[in-house]
Amino acid sequence: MNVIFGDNQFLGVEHSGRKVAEYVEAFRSKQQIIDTLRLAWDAGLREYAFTATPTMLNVVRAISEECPFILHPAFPYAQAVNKKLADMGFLGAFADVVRSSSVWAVFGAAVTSLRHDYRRALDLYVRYELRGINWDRVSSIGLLNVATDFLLGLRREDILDQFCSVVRQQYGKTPVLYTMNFPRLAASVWQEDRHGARLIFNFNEKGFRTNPSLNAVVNAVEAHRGREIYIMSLYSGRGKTDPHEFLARHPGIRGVLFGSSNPVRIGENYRALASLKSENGTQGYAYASHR
Amino acid sequence: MPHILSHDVIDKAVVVERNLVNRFIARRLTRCRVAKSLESIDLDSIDVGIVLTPSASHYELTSRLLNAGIHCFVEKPMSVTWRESAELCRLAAEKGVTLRVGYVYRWNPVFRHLKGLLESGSLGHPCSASLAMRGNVVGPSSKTTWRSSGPGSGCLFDFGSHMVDLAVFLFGSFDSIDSVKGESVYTQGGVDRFSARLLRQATPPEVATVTADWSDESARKALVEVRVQFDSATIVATPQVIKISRDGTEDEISISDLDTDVSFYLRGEDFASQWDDFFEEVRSKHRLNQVVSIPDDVVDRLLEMIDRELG
Repeated sequence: MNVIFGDNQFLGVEHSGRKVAEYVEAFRSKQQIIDTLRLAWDAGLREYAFTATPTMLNVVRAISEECPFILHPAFPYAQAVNKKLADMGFLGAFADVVRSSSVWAVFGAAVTSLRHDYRRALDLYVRYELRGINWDRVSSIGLLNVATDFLLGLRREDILDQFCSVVRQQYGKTPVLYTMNFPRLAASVWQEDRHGARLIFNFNEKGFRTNPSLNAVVNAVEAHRGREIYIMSLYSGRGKTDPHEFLARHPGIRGVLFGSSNPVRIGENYRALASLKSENGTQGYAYASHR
Repeated sequence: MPHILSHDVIDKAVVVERNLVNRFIARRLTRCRVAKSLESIDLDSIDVGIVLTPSASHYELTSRLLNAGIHCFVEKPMSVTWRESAELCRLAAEKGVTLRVGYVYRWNPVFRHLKGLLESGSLGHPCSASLAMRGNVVGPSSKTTWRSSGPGSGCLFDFGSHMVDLAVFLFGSFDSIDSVKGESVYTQGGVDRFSARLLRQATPPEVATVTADWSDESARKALVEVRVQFDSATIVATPQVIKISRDGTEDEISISDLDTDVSFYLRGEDFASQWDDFFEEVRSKHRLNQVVSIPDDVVDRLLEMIDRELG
């Protein structure tokens, strides 16, 4: 079981609504984020998945020598996109991306885009979002659910396929698609699975935000065993799902993303799952909860 | 658009867009047929019309669609005057078609649960309520757009109308208003924050205070809070959680404790629930010739009263 430390707590994201204010207060400064990442590193975590905001890119640069995490950046940051679109409009936001690239690169992307080949444009966009990152430490490049599900809803799975193609072939990294609609996306992306895409989604036994239904998600996990299935761990409501029991019932899950603000819990949960093995035989790391 | 196009009930869609650049973008993104105006479409071939245009155009477009016997969804506010909204409601009833307005907080699982709690009477009768919404829609460098300028625009119609509608959804109709205050922060000649009391004749009078501020830069996204005061309990609800305080104890119900399944999730259950229900009703109407839901114009009447007081 591959375990990756996530950044929801740093962004003040907590889906049950109970701890949002606590997270926003706890992670106001870059230093607070760095301190928590140091704790995660000391606990044994070696991989970090994060939304590629300017702040977070600065943070990973700042700790890269002390804590050389394997990086799993993803974008776009929804709030920043909303603000840009609201402030600048679609063309203004687009111009902002274009300004960061060379004229020839933009020209080439525009020409190919007219022929419905968006790979050059997507390449420009990846470079824009991940400017300044240490590429040697990057293992995967992800598209967050705000973009993945936007394109899925518009029935533009072809653009998602082109994104995966760019990440795999141009950058040699694993393409990752975050989604809140796993069954639908899995059926589309893994019909051929030409790029070995990893899908990351919510999965919890209570069925909180497992769309369109918990049953549909369970069936899809079973149907796609052997694929790169990763879940974001969420405690839905009160009570605790025992991680061993949960994962034993769903052996198709290859990896888990979690986030925690509690330094003690990070270590406790890491040790609790150290013996877990996934179906492909990978040794387990840790599984932690939003507690 | 993803919420709409992802729905399996949609067979074909046409996007109508006046702006040339937006038409180009729509064509590239959606692969739908894209038209410049309603005139270039055969309305007889359309079952559902979805009006997502600036508020000032809602009445004209929606009335044309309703007159053609087309089920309609129109973004909020329904129109820019009470008279126009009343006419749209009347027209929908006459034609026997569905008319829905995009007051999306009605579809939030937590607020629907709150409505159930209020209707059950388990906490007694509410003494008073307040509904508050904050966001950073406008700031010091914001440009003037249709959202901030023109009929049906501004913090009242484009933003705070959600709170007026939520008050009606949770507590029922109100008869009058008072204590209206408004303030301009960044929008020249416009109101960026306002408050008003909605009153219902009863003994004692029932009061809901609504406030909205769309110029709050500290708000990362739209924040909504509903407070309801009872004789011996208090409820505080946001779109994620309800907290009930009584007899010195506090209970919590989180959105994760409620049913949140939707056919297609993007940026929250609320939008998807809204569309799921709208399309299901339209599909049922076709299949079973059932009575359709039509909004009344209570919210629009209250908005017009508040707008008049704000000057």
